[in-house]
Amino acid sequence: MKKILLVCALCMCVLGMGISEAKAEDIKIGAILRLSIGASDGIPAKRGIEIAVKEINAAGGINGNPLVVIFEDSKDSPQASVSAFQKLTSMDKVQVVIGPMMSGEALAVAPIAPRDGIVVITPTATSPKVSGSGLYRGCTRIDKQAEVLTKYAKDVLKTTKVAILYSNEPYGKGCNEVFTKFFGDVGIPVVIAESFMVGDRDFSAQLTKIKQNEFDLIFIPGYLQETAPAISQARKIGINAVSMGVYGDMAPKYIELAGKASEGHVNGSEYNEAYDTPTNKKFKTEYYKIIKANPTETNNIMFAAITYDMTKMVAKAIAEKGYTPEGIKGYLDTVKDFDGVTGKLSFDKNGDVVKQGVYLFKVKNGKYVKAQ
Amino acid sequence: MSIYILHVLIMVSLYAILALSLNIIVGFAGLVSLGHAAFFGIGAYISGLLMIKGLGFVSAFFLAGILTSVLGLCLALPALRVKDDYLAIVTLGFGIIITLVFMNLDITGGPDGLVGIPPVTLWGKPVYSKWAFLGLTTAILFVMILSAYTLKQSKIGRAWAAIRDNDVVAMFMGINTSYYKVLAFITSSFWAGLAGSLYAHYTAYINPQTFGMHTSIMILSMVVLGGIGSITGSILGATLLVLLPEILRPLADYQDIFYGALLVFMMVFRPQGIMGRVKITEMFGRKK
Amino acid sequence: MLIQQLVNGLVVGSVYALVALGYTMIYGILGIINFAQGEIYMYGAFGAVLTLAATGELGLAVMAGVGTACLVGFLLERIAFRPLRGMHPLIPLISAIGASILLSSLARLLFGPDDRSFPIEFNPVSYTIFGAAEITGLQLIIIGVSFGLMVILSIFVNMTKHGKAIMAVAMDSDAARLSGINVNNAYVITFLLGSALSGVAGILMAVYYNATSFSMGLLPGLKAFSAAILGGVGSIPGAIVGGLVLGIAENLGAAYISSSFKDAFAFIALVLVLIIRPRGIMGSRK
Repeated sequence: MKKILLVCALCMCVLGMGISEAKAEDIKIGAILRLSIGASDGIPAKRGIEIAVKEINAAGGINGNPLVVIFEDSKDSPQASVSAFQKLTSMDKVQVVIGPMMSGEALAVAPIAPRDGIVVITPTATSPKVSGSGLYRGCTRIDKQAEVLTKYAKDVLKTTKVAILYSNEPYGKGCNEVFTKFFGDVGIPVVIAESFMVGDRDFSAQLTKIKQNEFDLIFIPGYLQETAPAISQARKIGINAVSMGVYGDMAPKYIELAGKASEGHVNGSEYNEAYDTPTNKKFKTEYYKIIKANPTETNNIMFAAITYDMTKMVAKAIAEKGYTPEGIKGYLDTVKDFDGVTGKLSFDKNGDVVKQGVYLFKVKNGKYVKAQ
Repeated sequence: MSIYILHVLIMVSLYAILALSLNIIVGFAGLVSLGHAAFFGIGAYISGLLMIKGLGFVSAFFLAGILTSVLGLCLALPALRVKDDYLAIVTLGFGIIITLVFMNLDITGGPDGLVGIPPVTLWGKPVYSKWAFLGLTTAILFVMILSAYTLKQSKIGRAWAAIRDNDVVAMFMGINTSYYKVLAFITSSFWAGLAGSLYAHYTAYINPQTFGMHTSIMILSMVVLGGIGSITGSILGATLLVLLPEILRPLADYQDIFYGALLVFMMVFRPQGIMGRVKITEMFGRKK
Repeated sequence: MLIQQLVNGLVVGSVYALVALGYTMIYGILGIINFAQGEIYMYGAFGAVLTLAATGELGLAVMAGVGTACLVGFLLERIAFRPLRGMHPLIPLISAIGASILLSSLARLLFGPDDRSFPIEFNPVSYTIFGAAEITGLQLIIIGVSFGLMVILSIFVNMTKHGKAIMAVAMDSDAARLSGINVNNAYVITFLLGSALSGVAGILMAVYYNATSFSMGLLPGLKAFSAAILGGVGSIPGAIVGGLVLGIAENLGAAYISSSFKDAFAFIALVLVLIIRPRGIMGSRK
């Protein structure tokens, strides 16, 4: 009997949880980010939102009302992302959610969002399956990235054959499929494709097999925790081909973990620090101030830049069209050349962001510099 | 507010079915299984794919259960050859292999998973209302509780209890231990498959991440925390472990520490679980 | 390529063997599957990396790493296992799983979510074997250290008083107790030894992969456990054979069958061996 009462008490707690004490005039939006597992991506993303909120509220908020973001952890789980979404929409009554960050989590939230009409903007999911699912996407789709990178390989690197070592999860696998097609389109055959799992640190089996082939470019899409040791081990066994990666590598951590092996690595990015606008200068200053104050925190300005832009767009949408899903969608669907730090932004009919394009970077002397 | 609560309650009922199904293997028959989420996943994928191909819900639902139990049979056979603790790692390995299969086959959508799974349809009409869905899952849970209870009291249940206490002695008593162990796996995986089907049509999207080791461990924890062998216990365990992450939202970063500590704490101070009787753990202690 | 893959497998396999030894000793003597063995390995690595970053002394760092691993093992035995002796094996299993989750989340909070590089860079010196494969100095060190430790362990267990006491407890704790052996001490020593070995394994891997993270122990822990069972749990040579077989099977499977299933090969190898030989390759009694 006692035990059943205990469980009932727990249920009461759940019911009581939703009663938050935010003031009536606050404008609440939700964010579902990778805050525990995958915090290396989630914390910078959170920072981006925080910088935007601070800026907006310092300027008087949204039509005088302070903007408040309620953060939830996606725990790297589609299931937890859905629960977080349900909690944000039904308890906190948010009308817009920034996140989740991963394709799998975004796809899990997608069926529910249109049903309830909530606007969902995923800042970093890259799977093509997200297009047309009703979500907005804040980063360039993987095929646009592929187009730019493969063209660079063909025109600048003069690549003739490529080897691929990809991460066997939605991001890396998606990259493998899309890039293989685009490499083919520019006449660069893929001589071999091997894969690894997230969490693996030993790539000797795959690399030894890859080394049996002839190629002048090795493409390693995935997350830097794996791609950095992968290139390091590749160099150690004597693979000297130029290396190319995707967004996951776009952080100083990649260079730190890969060491000398990262030299010459070519990468795409959503964000260019040198982009010369007052908005970007201000954003950069703020971000690096935070990094300086928290030296052990992950430094990944690209993720922060994307969520910063998305937050500011949402705030502008609410300010101009009112805090309803229709209002926000109305703004997002029609905005042109929004002054973002990642470029001049708008959204296409699938909800994918449109900007000038993918920025190309190369590692030179231990630092990322603009390629081309 | 109510949609969130309904969602949580639906998750509780689904996991209660899962925990109860695992309890058949672990609590009734006394075998160890660390790969149970694999059956959950197999049921989900099969049902999802069948409905995407055009089959009706009821057929997909039952076929998912049946086909999952066939795979349960496949696991049971090598499981017979090894003893308890080895069984843990074999079932764990099974779970990992199945997850990898989900991730690599095109038909399961690979790592991206299955998108666009149709919702439950009853009498030709799709069920969108969460209240109705909760009613459905609760009804199925109820049927399951009844069958679990009946099984426990039946000849099969008694055979399982004998095997659980000491399978060598059970064999000498004339019980066909292989048959009953396989039966435990088949029954358990059938129900897990049904739970998977319900899950797939509720969430409309599944991917391999949901059915990995983390979930298997969570289901096992529900069974053990609730009390091995206790039907009420499994339901309480499921309720506890589904509610906990929701209640602990303010604690965000510390949730996993809390979860780990809870498991250790419960095992050290109340190993028989919430509903278990102390007698059970003594009965089981047969080593050192 | 075959010889190179064998070399690759040998290096990884010897590290699996080190962790497997910890598992096999703890299981053989306490009957517990220590799911948290991978976390002990991880704390060993962090102990070394943090000490090295702070002091720059490699020797001190290694000692700190092993010490940290032993401390974690000691606490684990005391808090999560000792109270659970004699119970249904599921109970300490869940306790170990809980401890594993607790320890790795704690590490995430203490050390941050990022991977850390090893503060010292080793310049690879390569040697050629049979003209067909290459092996670096670091890889040779790893194999050498692993085998050296295994030999030391065997000597300890077979020739010292404490070692023989542990074996006695493994065979029959009641009889051992009656012969005057302090069983509790034997358990603690076993845990300390197993932890020390895992700690060294963690440090070796932190150097080899240049990556130390809170989650680094999970998968190696599972694979090492499979290795221990594959080789015959409770048998020291078995753990060594199991580790090597697993490392090689994994690499050959990834190279010749499919790299997408690399993690599965460890378990497939385990299942195959257990079907043919349910006691493991070198498993004997029980």
